[in-house]
Amino acid sequence: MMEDQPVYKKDWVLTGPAFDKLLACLDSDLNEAGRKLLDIRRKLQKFFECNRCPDPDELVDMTIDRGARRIDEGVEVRELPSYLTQIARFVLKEHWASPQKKMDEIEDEGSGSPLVAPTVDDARNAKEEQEERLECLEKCSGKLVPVERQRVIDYYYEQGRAKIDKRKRMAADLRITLGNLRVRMHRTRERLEECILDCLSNKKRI
Amino acid sequence: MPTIELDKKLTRYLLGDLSEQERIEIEDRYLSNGEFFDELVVAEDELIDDCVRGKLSRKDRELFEQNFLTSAARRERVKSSRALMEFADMHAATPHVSWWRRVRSAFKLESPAMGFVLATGFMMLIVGVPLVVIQMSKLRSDLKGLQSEQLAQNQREKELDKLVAQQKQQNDELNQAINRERAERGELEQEVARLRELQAPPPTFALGFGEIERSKGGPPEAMKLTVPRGAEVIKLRLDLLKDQYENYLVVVENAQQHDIWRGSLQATKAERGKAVVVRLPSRLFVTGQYKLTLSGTNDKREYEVISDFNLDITRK
Repeated sequence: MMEDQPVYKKDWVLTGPAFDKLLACLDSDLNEAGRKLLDIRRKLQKFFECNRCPDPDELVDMTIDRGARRIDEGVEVRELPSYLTQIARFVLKEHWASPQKKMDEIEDEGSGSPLVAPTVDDARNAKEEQEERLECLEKCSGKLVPVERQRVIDYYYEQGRAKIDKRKRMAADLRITLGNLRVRMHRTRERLEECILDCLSNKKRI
Repeated sequence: MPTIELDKKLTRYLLGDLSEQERIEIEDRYLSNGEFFDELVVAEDELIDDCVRGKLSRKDRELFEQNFLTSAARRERVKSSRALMEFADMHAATPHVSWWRRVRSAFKLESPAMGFVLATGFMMLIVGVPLVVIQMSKLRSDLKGLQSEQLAQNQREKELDKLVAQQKQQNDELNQAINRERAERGELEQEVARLRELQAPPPTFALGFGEIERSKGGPPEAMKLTVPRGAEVIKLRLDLLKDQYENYLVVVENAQQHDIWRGSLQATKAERGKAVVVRLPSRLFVTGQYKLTLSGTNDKREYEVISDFNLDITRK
């Protein structure tokens, strides 16, 4: 009796077989499929973030779940990244159109009122937090190899107009393009940011 | 599209400052193109950094706060960027330059061969100088040790010399005291003997002029003296050619050259001129060879040997 009952879209949950079908659409090799899915996930995250969504992860999960459901339902997908992009745009529209979103906007406007000035305690807390963050960064940078750590210092050190020339020299020293250097520094920065978040959450636990 | 223009467009996209159509174009591109996506995330890093460094215009700053800082993750990234800038500024203030680079730049030697020579020399300097310093320090320390040891040794030797000199002086003084004592004793014995002579005259032997005998050359002939039984004292007369000394010293030695008697005497009038008369206790003698030495004291109170007499004594 139960099996004959229809499953509504909003009640659908991602199952193991459905997820496997999703991965199979990306690559026959399971590891490569997993890597590609993570790549899509990062891009969708940025997409929602750039469209002023306060919780991009939730919308990314919704997009991937919806794509997996459609594949599980038998829809033939040739290019999964493009297909998920289309779904993401629908999800975004739904998000903007949802009553909850409107409610959030009203709340945001209230909390962001310029009439509420930051207190002395807020400033003190912010300063303490920043000091902790700097301590964590010191610790995290210690995990980098010395050359890489020095590169981070050189790259982000403020030198006004000489910054561009300095970065060009750094790229030339590494025999890579300036664009590649920027990407490389972004990757290092991502690692440091993750490490800082872990470090701060550990401090809060203590 | 040139990089600078693309960067600008991506920045406008991130700030929510593009038309609907432009936004969709960019999104389609980065969602399908990995490299373009990398361009976007790098542009995002730089937008955050510019904001933290205060490089955004007022309008961009407002757009940044309104359209960019919409998620907790992005707010977190801004805080991390602030820490990163502070970290870089702090550490770049004391730039790390490797010692090798400093050496090279100091000498302006960029060729590998010269670099090798310099590196070798520098390493030798680094390794050698401390070794030499250590060695010199050790040698200096050893030298100081030896010097102080030698000084101590010299000091000990001086002290020993001083001690020996003191000992020798003490011995001399003691000998002189003993001699004086014995001479005084000899005088007393002479006095006692003279008193006894009044009761019983002792056997007397005239030894003659020892000095004359001596001047004859050759070994002096031993004079035969016989000590009669019961005689307590024997009297020896030593004739003088000339009485030129204030005091005379008579020393008697046995065959083993041991000094068995000595006495300080003065010359007395004899039958023929002056003589030194010596009265000796007969107990001193057993049958055997003896030697008697007569000396006189000069102005400096030093003894000058006048004559030797060899005595062949027989006890009855």
